[in-house]
This record gives sequence, structure tokens and C-alpha cells, in this order.
Amino acid sequence: MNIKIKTQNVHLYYGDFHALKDISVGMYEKAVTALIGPSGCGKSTFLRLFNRMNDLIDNVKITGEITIDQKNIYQIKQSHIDNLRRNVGMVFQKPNPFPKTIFENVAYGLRVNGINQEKVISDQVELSLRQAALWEEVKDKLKKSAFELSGGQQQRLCIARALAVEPSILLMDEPASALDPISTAKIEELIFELKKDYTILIVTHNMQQAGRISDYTGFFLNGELIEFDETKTIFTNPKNNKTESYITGRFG
Amino acid sequence: MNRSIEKGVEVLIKTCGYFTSVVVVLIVFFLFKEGLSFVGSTPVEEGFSIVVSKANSAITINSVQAKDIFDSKIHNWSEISGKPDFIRLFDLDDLLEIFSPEELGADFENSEVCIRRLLDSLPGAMVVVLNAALPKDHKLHTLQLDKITLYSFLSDRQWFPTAKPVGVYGALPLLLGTLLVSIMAIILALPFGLAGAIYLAEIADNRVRNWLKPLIELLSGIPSVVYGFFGLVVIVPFVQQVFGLSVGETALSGSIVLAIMALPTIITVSEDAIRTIPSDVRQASLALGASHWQTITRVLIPYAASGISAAIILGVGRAIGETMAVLMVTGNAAIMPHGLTHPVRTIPATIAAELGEASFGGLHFKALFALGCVLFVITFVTNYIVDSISRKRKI
Amino acid sequence: MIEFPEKADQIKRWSQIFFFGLARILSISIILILLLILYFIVSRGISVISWEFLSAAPKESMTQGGIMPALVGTLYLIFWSMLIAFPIGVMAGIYVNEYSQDGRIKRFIKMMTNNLSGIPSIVFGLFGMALFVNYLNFGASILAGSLTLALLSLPLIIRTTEESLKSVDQGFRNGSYALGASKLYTIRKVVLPIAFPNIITGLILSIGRVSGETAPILFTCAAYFLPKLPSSVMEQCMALPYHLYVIATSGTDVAKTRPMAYGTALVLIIIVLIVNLFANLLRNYFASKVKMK
Ligand SMILES: Nc1ncnc2c1ncn2[C@@H]1O[C@H](COP(=O)(O)OP(=O)(O)OP(=O)(O)O)[C@@H](O)[C@H]1O
Ligand SMILES: [Mg+2]
Repeated sequence: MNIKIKTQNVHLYYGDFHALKDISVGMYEKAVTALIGPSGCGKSTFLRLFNRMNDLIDNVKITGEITIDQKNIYQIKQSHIDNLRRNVGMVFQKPNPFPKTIFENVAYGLRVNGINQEKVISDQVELSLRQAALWEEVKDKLKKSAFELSGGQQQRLCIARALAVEPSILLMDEPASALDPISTAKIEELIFELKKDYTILIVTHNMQQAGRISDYTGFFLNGELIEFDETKTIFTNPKNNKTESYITGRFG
Repeated sequence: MNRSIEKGVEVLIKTCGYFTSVVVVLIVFFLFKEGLSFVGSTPVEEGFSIVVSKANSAITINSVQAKDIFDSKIHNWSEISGKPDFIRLFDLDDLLEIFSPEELGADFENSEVCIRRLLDSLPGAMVVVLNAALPKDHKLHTLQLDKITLYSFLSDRQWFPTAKPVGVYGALPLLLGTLLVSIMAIILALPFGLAGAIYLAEIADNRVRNWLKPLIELLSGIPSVVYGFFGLVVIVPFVQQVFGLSVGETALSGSIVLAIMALPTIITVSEDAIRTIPSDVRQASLALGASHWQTITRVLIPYAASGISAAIILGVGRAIGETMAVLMVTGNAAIMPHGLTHPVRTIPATIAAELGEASFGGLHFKALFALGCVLFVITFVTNYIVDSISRKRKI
Repeated sequence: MIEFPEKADQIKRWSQIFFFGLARILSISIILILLLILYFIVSRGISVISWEFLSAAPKESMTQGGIMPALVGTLYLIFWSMLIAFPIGVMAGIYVNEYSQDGRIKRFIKMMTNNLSGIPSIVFGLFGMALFVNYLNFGASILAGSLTLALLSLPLIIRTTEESLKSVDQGFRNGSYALGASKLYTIRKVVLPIAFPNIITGLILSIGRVSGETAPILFTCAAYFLPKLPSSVMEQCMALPYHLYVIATSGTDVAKTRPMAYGTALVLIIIVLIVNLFANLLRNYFASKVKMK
């Protein structure tokens, strides 16, 4: 398998605070990589490196090299950041639909990026909703407000919204932590399906979930990447005893 | 501290807690006591009666017709659906000329007989007499006037409360004037207010924000008379020149002044609405490749729509109640508004300008309280809308 | 596969630059309006202000002399209205934040306070006239005017008191209760001292508001011309904002009264500036104190 995303000696500072420390890792294409670790260890910060969302925060300093498909994404022209962000979709902890109709939520990414043929848009909206396993549930109420959906449906809508601009990478920051068990199961199923076409990075606090859905797992602690390996290995035979004590629930 | 003193203080604190509620109730009571007694009264100057012949007392006219009669614009009973006959007006002075003091009696004891004689010879006459000059149990017929109703008060198109002996109390011109000036003010203020709110909430960095906010607060601290004065010396001449008008005191001048005054409200409330949007939503849009500006117009403003509309309604409410500044720059013509470049008169300005000269407890006085009630209801409703919008936002 | 047009990214970028520029220009123009107002009044009023202007009564049908009676009248109104409103407002704020447990009652009181703050000042004027001037028979007087102004400024005082009490950490209260102190004692000795600077901002802002209000005193207190200072609260007095209104609109010789009007407006503006400065200083002081702990 190919390495899709690579970081080399990456450090990140929020002002004086050293939030990511010397991270070097490669993540494989069309695989699910789970990021685990106690609260505040830098998982979300790490995730935001790849669509350059950390750029939006004042006083952030990043050093090191981050490449996607062998291209250093911190050396592209400012005008290509939009391009990067289309290529790297993001799903957040809480479902966060826009105050628009279900259809327009999914169409949003297309419209803001200059697509205006309605036929192309409606085809793509349908395709994305099908990929997100939501089409059957919403096809009769595309014109309804997105807020009328249940929490789990909203989260799948947010996934469809991210898929509509055809990214190759999906960043998911605890996408199921605000959902009930049934919705969570649906999201997990969905991630399993999406793995065929997308490189997925997922942050989770739920060890069973990481074990169930991921191929690789990285364990973070205090801004350091303590261990990165196949999920099987991490969960059955970790090399670092900090990893072991975290997984067995001794801290965090 | 002594236990009983402590109890006493706590009772006092509790009383103060309910104080504002008591004040609101008192305001409603005193306002509506005067205001409601206005409805249902006849618009004849207190202490006077208008006496007509028996035949003509079957005719009911409204206050505008009455005013036209006394302004000599209506001359014949046929114009007010009576039998053709000239309307002749007499007042007490005229009676004193027609009849000798002996005929009338020293204390006008015989006024009834005299007036009856006058009406017999001139059936079209209308005699305005002081009630004090008539016997209490007189059998004369008085002119039938429409009573003031809530509907007539709000829909009649003329405001001449000082017309004698019949006042005209149509608040429609004042109501429309108020709405015209206030709504125009918000339309003028909105682009600036929204831009300011967006700038403060999304664009400006913290350093700029920290000195912009106090300046905008300062804008809201300037007294309304000072705004009125500024309007008088700067905006009124400006409007006059730009539009080539003979007078600059117009609805537009009032709107400009009110727009400036409404800015702080619109900015702070809308900024708050934008700022409280979860940052997730903003990030989700940017993560799809949208620009910051696209995020603002397509996601954040729709998201804050209820908060922004609360800001607008609140701004309109404040503008509607604003008195002094408007009084000083709008020209105060109590006529149906003709447009932005003409003088208008608002409800608060009317109260401020006329209450001083209205006799206490009289009809005019009550009419102004009725206007106060209208104002109270408008602001109560706007408050209620804003309240329910912001409550919905919290859920 | 979707083809994203290259041009769209360009349009996005340029429209962002354009509209951000526009928002910036509109925001700056708001500040320019403020500066314009200040400039007009300061530049034309500054030459009028002198010791005589502040210490003499208006003369020659208000074209000469000063504003002393109006200034003193406004000070009277501030003093009496705050004397009435401040204790009531602070206690009401204490009740809302510290005592009322029932959410419904709390919401009701807040709603009523909100309503009170939304009532136009001219309606306060009507009310003051009906209740204080006529019903209670105080006549047009400093007392009636101050009472009216006090009611008007209550919501502001209550709200700032409530906000400042809310920002006092619950830990302080719990610590005091743990030592067996009563609720009132805790409020008096622990909560109020911490919240005090911020409560004072409410007082200062109300002073700013009261000093500039005209409509509420129009029929309850303000005198058109009264060179003698009032000797009791049952007398009428002049007041700065009403005085400005009078000389700005009803002077017989506008050209001659204008300088007086600019001077009066400047004095009002100075009061507002001082009030805002103080309020901001206190707020910053309070913020730094809260941060320290
Ligand atoms: N905008 C910011 N400015 C300053 N410090 C920040 C910022 N965002 C995060 N941090 C700090 O960086 C560290 C890592 O934060 P991050 O959100 O990445 O943690 P996390 O692993 O995602 O935690 P959680 O599991 O709770 O989501 C934390 O200590 C946090 O306080
Ligand atoms: Mg996180």
C-alpha cells in the first residue's frame, strides 16, 4: 500500500505552548488510521494540520514537513489552499449542518467552488447522499431544513457534505461521540464502506471503536506520538508500556 | 448581625426584586387610565355645548366636518346630509350683541329662551355656548358628533387637537410619520451596522476590536439632545442643500440622525449573534474550500439571522420611542407624510411638543396619553418579539 | 468526476478582498461620524467655555452669561435620582442573582426589567407627570424629576449588578458558607466587595444616562429659565439637556444663541466622555483583578 500522508519532524506551537512535538509518521492510502490518546494530547491539532485549519488560529507556528501525495502542503501558493481543502474533507465532533436545506447543505461545497450547473449539482448531491447512506431517508425531504434531521442523520449529512467535493482524504474528529449507539453503529458501518475509496483519519476516545474500524492506530500523549502501528499490534502487543497502560484503561 | 435585622434586610431585598414589576404595572395603570378615558369621549372642547335646532340635531357629523364648519369651509347643511340651509355660527359674544342684557338676564338665566328664539328664526344656526351659561336642565338640542373610537383615533387623517370648539384627533399622520422616520433610519443604518458587526466579529483582530468597541459605546452614550443639536446644525443644512429644499427639517434629516443613534444597538446585538455561532460551523465551511467572505455571507449571516433580526427590531423600537432628536430636526408638521423630503411629526415629538400646552385632564391631555399608550404598546410588542427570538436562539 | 473551474478560486479571492475592504471602510466611517460629531461640538464649543460660562446664569434672553443654574440643576437631578435608584437597583440585582431560586420568577423579573428598559423616555415623562406631579401632588419639582429619572435608570443598574454578581466565582460563596456564615453575611462581606467595582460601572453609566435625558424631565421638573438656584427639592430647576434644547430651537436670535448652545453641548459631551472613561477604567481594573485570582 502507498503512503498517502507523511509528516517529518513536525512541531506545532500555540504561542509558547508546544502542542505537537517532533512527529514523523506516514499514513497509508485507502486505510483507516485511528488517533487515540487522553484529552488535550493534541489529536485534533494533529488532524487540523492536513487541511491547514490551524492556519486560522492566531499565533500558531508550525515547523517540519507535511506532504500529501508527495507534495508539501505548507509550500503551496495561498491560492491553492482552497484546492487542498477540497481534497481533504473534515467531519466534526458535533453534527454541524448549515442553516440551509438538506440539499443545499450538500451542494454548498460545489457552489462555493464555482460549480453552477444545476444538473451536475443535483447528481452529485444524490451520489454523495447515497455514499453517506442517507439518500433513502431524505430523498423526499431534500427541501426541508437540515435541522429537522436527527443527530445521527445530521452527522451523516455532514459526511455527505464533505464527500460532495470529491476529497481523497477524510479527517474525522470524534465523529460519533455525540451520537446514540445505533447512530454510532451506522457511522462505523459507513466508515468501513468509505475506506474503499478514501484515506480516513479518525480521532476517537472509544478503544473498541478504534479496534473495530481502523487498520492503523497512533497513540498520542502530551503532544508526542508515542507509538504508531497496525491496530492489531497496538491492541495486542504494544511496544511502549505507556500505550499499554492507556489501552488497558490505566490512565486517560 | 442581629437575626431579626437580617430577616428585615432580606425582606427589603426581595421587595426591591419585585420593584421593576410594580413600576411597569404602575406605568400601565396611569398611562391607560388617562389614555382609555379618551376613547369614547366627544371631541367638543370641555365646558362648551354646540346647540342646534331640533331638526338638525338628528344629523350626526364627524370632527373633521365640524372643523370645516368652524373654519367656514362647509357653509350649508346640505353638505353634511341635512336639508339645504345656510349654517350660521353664533357664540356667546354674538348672543350678547343680539340680545340685550335684560333679555339674557344677569347670570344668563334666560339664555335658553333666547337661544330658542334665535333657532326659531334661523333654523340653520349653530350656537356655541359655555355650559355655565346654560341652565342645568335645559331642553335645547345639541349637535350630534361622532364619538372618538380606537379605530377613528388610529385611522383619521388629521391632527388638530387645538381646533376650537371641536378638536380633530386623528393619529394616523403621527403614526405614519413615526414609522416612516424610524424604518428609514434602520434602512440607512443597516449597511453600516451590519458591516460594523461583521468587521468586529470576524475581520478585526483583537487589538483593533479593543479600541473600536469603546468608541461605539461612546456613540450610544451621547445624549439625544446633543444628537438633535448636531442634526440641527449639520444634517438639516446638509439635507436642505443636497435636495435643494426650502427647509431642511424633514423626515430624512430625522432618519439620518436616528440612523446614527441606532448604530450602536444594531452593531452590538448583531455582533453578539455572530460571535456566539459555534466555531465548528465556521470551520466546516472553510474546510470545504469556501473563502472567509463566502462563509460569512452564506453560513454565518443565515445562522445569525434571528439575532440580526432581533437587532433590527430592537433598533426600530428604540427609534420609534426616540423623542428629542427627532423633535429638533423633523420640522414637526402634523400632516400625512408626503415623503422623505417633507416635514413630518412623530408620536413622541407630538407628546413632547404639546403636553406643556394641553390643559390638565382635558381632552387634548388625554389624547396625548392615548398616544403614549400607542407608543407603549408598540415598544412592548417589539420587546416581546426580540425576547422570544433570543429565547429561541438559546434552545 | 467534478471539474472545479480554476477561475472560481480567483473570483473568491478578489471578492473577499473587495468586501472585506468595504466592511472596513463602512466601519471606519462609523468612527468618522463619531469624530465628526465630537469635532463639531468641541471645536465650536471650546471657545465659549470659560469660568463665567460655568458660573453665571443666562443673561440677555440666553445670548449671554452662562449655564450655571442648568449645570447645578443637572447635578441635583443626578444626585437625587441616583440616591433613589442605586440602592434599589443593587438590591434588586442581588435578589435576582442571589436569592430567587425559582427559574420562573427569575425569568419573570428579568422580563419585567427588560420591558422597563424598553419603554421610551417620553413615556416615562408622561408617567412621571401623571403619578408624581399630579397624583402625588409633588408638582413639577426636582423630586418628581429625580423619581422619574430614577425609575428610568433602574434597569441598567440592576443588569450591571446582576452581571457583576454572576461573574463572582461560586467558590467564594461556598468557602464562606463552609465557615458557617449566613447568606446575607456572605453577600455583604464576600460577594459584594469583589463585585463592587463592576457594580459601580453601572452607577457611572446611569449617571451618564441621567445627565443627558430630556424627555422624562420635560413635564416633571425642567424649567425654561430660572436664574435662582432651587432651595428645596420641591422646586423646579433648569437642566443642561433641556437648556440645550431650548436655546437650540426657540431662541429669538439664533445667531446669538448658537455659541451658548455649542458650549452647553460641549459640557454635556464632556460629562459623557468622563463617564465612559471612568466606566472603562473600572472595567479594566476589575477584569485584571479577576484574572489575577
Ligand atoms: N487555539 C488554541 N490556542 C492555544 N492552545 C490550544 C488551542 N487549541 C488547542 N490548544 C491546546 O493544545 C493542546 C492540544 O489540544 P487538542 O485540541 O489538539 O487536544 P485533543 O487531543 O484533541 O483533546 P480532546 O480529546 O479533548 O479533543 C491542548 O492542551 C489545548 O489546550
Ligand atoms: Mg479534540
